[in-house]
Amino acid sequence: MHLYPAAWRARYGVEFQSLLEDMKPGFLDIVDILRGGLQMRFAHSNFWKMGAVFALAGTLAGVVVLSALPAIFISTAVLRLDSGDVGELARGAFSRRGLYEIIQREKLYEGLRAEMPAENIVERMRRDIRIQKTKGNAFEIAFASSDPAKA
Amino acid sequence: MSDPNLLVLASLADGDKHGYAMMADIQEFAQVRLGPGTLYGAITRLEERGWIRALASGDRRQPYTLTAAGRRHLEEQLANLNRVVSTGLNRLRPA
Repeated sequence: MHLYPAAWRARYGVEFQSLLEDMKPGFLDIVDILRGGLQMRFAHSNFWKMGAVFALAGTLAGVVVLSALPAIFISTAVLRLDSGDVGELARGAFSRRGLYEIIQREKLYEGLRAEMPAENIVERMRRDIRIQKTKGNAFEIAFASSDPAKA
Repeated sequence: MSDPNLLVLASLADGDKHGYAMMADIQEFAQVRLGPGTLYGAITRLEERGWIRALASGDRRQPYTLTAAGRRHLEEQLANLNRVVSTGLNRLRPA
């Protein structure tokens, strides 16, 4: 009943309650009452007031979603090769051995290392690294981590 | 036919009734069971439009009556419905 606007309850509340006592509502009736209450709220609410309610609900939902998402920090560097090929360098850098050495040396993914085999950690790091060729022999390398110091 | 507004007006056409009596009457003549939220949604709309009116009552059960405007509206709606039904039945009849 409290889903209905106060003005509606003041006008129809007593007789509506009396109807419910007479008919002894089942599950579908309760759904019907909830739907009726929502429709009545929409029908009798001020447009701007409803807009403000939805804007507030949207903002709150956004804050909840953002606070539930882990923060990601990305460090980016642009490097230029005086000799050699970017592709060749990337293949070497992305090799299992190369990446695992970096993981151990820099103490990366410490939490995951106790739970996952080394191959999975290396795969995870491959996903966290992005290499993009820019101009000539220059390329951009980025690494994403939830720890700002590691990134 | 399941328009709650029309069903409530049709129920009140043969006499004043409160919500529970309307619900039982509609179920009997239209085989439609209106939920309490749907019934009172229709009662609210019909009263706002001046097609039904609450009668003085000492009881918690509030009886309603059809107004003259409500009777005219019901007659128009039923005439429209009657045309649709007649047309549909004629078109279904084998040539």
